[in-house]
Amino acid sequence: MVERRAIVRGKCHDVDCATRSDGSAPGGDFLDALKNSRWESGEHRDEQVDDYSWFLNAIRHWANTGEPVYSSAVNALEDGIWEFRHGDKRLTFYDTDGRGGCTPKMLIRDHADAEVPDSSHWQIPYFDPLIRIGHAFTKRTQKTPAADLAAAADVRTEDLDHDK
Amino acid sequence: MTNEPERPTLIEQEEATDAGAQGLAAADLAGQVVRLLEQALDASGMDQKALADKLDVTQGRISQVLNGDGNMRVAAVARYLRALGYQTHISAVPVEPGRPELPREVNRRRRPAAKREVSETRYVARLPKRSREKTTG
Repeated sequence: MVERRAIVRGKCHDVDCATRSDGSAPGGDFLDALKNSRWESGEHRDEQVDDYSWFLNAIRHWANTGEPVYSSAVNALEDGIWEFRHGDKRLTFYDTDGRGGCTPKMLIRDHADAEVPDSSHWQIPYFDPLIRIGHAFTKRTQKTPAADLAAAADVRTEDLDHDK
Repeated sequence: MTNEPERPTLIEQEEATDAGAQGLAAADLAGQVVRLLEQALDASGMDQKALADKLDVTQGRISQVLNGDGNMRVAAVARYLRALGYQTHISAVPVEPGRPELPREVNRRRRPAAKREVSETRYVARLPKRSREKTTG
């Protein structure tokens, strides 16, 4: 059984870093890099929200509510892979049943199909209890690069294989 | 088989340091600001153009704020929410032992009316009444 880095144990979800077949955890490496560089530049640190804190808080909020910290903080990519988005930084995630299974959760288009119709985030369905943080990248173009979508899917495949 | 204690989560590690706990608190409050603005805009029934007109700013500025991270100046938060029909209040919940919830509310009643009796500490000169001189004309 692979040991994953735990990010948060929330009321709705437990969130861990996905682990590739070689044992690396790209989402965890990304968070470490943000943590190590958080005060490399910039004045008035007491007035800033650093990127590391932003991502951890966004993940914690999702873990406790199953919803984004605010609308634009989360975006659905494709085939059940979603992303936390902050500035030009993206961190993908997906859910799993913990036994290597994943039923892709898609954005709900019609309010009549909403699972949480009273929520202002009714387009977001219920996710399984376990969330894994996958691939991180910088988005510099309008569309998400195909290479990053493929990398996010690969991380998920390799991570879920550990649980089968 | 030994039951090893679970390693602390990244959130627990952050909450255990001053810098980490403060960083998370800053991100959390900023997130609350955007969430509140989104909900107020939704509840008001206004669109971004109407809000821009009311605040006398560009629609681009409104979009920037609503798509930002919420780390706005306090005055801007109050202005935006007021323009959407809300007064903003701020309060603080203790997360460390021994701290009271803030702000402390003091229930002062209306100031009682001043007593009319003469007290020992209050000297009122009593001069003999002068009789009015009657004028004749």
